Amino acid sequence: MIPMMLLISALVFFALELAPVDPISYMVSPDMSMDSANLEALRESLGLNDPAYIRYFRWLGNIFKGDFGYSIVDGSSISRIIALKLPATFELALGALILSSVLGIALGIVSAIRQNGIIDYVSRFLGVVGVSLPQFFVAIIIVQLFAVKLGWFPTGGREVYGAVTFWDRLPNLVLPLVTMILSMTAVLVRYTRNTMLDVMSKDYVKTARSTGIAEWKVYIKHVFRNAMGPVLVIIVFRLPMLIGGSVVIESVFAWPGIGSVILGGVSTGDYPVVMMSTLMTSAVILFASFLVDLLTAMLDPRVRFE
Amino acid sequence: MKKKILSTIALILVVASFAVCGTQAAEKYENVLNLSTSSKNISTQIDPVWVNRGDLYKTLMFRSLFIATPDMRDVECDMAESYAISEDKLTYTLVLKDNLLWHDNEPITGDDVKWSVEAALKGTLLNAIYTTAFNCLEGVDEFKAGTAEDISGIVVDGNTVTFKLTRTSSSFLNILGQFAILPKHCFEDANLLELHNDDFWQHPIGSGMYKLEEFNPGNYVVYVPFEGYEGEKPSIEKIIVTAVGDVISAAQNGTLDYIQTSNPEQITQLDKMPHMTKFPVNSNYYRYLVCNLADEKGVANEKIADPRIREALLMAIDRENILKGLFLGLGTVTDTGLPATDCDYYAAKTYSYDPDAAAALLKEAGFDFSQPIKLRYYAGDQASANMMEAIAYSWEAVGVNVDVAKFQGSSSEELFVIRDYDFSLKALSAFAYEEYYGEYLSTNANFSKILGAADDFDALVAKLSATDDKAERNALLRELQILEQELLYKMPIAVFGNYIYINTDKLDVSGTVFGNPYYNYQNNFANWSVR
Repeated sequence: MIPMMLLISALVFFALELAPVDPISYMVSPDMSMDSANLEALRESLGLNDPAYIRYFRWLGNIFKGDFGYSIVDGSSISRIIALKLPATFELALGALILSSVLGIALGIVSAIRQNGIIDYVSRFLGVVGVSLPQFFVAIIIVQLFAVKLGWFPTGGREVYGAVTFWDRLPNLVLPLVTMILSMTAVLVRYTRNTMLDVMSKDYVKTARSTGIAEWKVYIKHVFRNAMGPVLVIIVFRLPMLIGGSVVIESVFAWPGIGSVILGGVSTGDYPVVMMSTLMTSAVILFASFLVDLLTAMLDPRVRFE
Repeated sequence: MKKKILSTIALILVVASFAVCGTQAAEKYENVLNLSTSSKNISTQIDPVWVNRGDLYKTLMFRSLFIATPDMRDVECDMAESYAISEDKLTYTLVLKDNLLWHDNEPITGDDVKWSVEAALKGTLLNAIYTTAFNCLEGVDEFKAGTAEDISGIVVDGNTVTFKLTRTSSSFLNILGQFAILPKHCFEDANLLELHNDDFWQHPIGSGMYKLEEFNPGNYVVYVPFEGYEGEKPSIEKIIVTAVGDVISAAQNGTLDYIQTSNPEQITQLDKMPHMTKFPVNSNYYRYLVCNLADEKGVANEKIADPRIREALLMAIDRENILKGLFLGLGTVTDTGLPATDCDYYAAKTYSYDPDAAAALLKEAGFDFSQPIKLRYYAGDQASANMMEAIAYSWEAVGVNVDVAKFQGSSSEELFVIRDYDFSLKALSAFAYEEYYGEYLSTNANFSKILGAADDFDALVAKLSATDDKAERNALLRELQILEQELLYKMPIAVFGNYIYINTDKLDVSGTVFGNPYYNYQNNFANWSVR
């Protein structure tokens, strides 16, 4: 896992080097006639004049010493940026992950069991809508309807002045959460339904039914358990979202999460920020892969045996 | 059936409870002014004041020695009690008001003034207007070179601060009216090169009528009246600046009370809101096409080197119709850098739309029609993108092959370092005409890289900067405009105004004259009240 992360960090760092972005130029607007000597001094003090490989190993060495460094553009320590932004991303993404998983699996199961029933039609319709409509479009519609027309929720932001508890902040969370849930649930509903139908047509399910056991036991013990493998893979591979956030949602709802920090870092050449966030995301992706292997082994005895 | 009814009731209750939560939060505070900013601006710190001085909350928190009048032509005393200018206009003597306090109740002294100017010159991010003015101070070269510890041209004696200049500066007082004084005692160990990134900006200490009460990074900033402010006390109890994704939606649902904009899409939407009253302001927001003519060594871009080619391309653009169709008629076409409405405006040539004459002039100048013209822009709004497409279309109509695209990287890097373009859209809301013409100077760190470091304008701009005699300035501005049209380094498009929208159902701003929102001016905020 560690060699893989090092490889990823090196790839990202040197790929960033190829991009024609200079953090110093980014800081200076075309209208500023700044003192070029001062800018050169700043470039030197930030170590930007050093060769790329020296900067890479210096950055890596500092990470091992527990020093995440500073944002070149913003000046804040990266640990502070993470401490400020990660809770917001985590709150939104975790909420969306849990709710979309519960809803998606539940609707997918019911749709499969009651195939061609009302719930199936509604779920399939929502599934198509959720997958086809881009998130930014859904977000704009939701804001117009529930924030502007009805005035039930704020248009954006995570916290408003005076909000102390989680319940005070809840109105700000609802719209971005609903937007995320819609598309995430849609994928899961379709996937769960299809895998359930696939398993339901298997011979061992028919055999189970012929033994006369209760129908719900057939669904739980024989269908659900076997259908969940591929669905769990989708859910687990959504874990990196907890760290990476969603740039679209954060932009539309002015949600102060880590997604916009990563986007800003890439566009401004703020390599310490990009490197740290990449490293964190890579760690979660590798962890998710490990988790998928583990869960697959738990659900499928053949894998465990192999 | 019973289950369905119960589920429906439960769903209604959940939605209603959320709705109640939402409205309660909005109705909690009454005597409040709600402002907005982008989440990025308050991501980890509050935007420093030496680059962009405007934004209402910044002008209410940080003070300058003077404050501009709304028309920006004059100044009134702010931190200064009085001032005197020597006959040769080289010495400015200011006396600070007694008992001025920082928001941490430390006294404001002349040392803060001197330190602020020196720190600004040692820093990396400073608006051009300050650099130009402070470079006139005695001893500034030695200070910048590191051979002097301080600027000898700033002398502090108690509450009296004296500025000694080596050459006259017509806008020195006006610049002091924009330059925010910062507390020296808060920056004792600061790295001046990175002053804009100092921890100070997480909890800034200012001197204005409002002080910071709470900063919630990425979410909001709250300001409350400063009890130590010696001027008229404001009646609004809190200013809440919230990170907003879409200002129009926020204005529509009544959670935003003040917006400044020049964006046609936003203006169209705001005009439809009866509670938002529009106040037009003159911000001299000038948009033009800057020409990538030659590098600093003078190596010319042959494709567009002949001024007749640039003149022809300008005549090929139907600027009036672009303004009408894409900008709702908000801009005024101009043929020089000055707004056509200014009394000093003088256009020896008018570049009226005439595609036939343009095509003929291009042929006469020997323009190579086989080479594509690279037209670029960095503005992110749709109206600007549409304008660039319209310009490209106009040029194609006279036979020019155009490659139009938005810059991918940072605007400064693309414009002045990479330089892979022929023309680029640029904008400038100049504080004074000296600043506008300052872009032509051979000493301009950026523009010298695309205009070949030519010194055609240097002498005239230096004279303009030095004089405040009205007749002399008129004559110089006339000469500058003639030269500008002769050389055509920049192709003028239009000068745009700005609009301030205020929720007048909630706020009473009667008696206020609004000025350029990008700068610090007297807006009589203390008299603003919530109805």
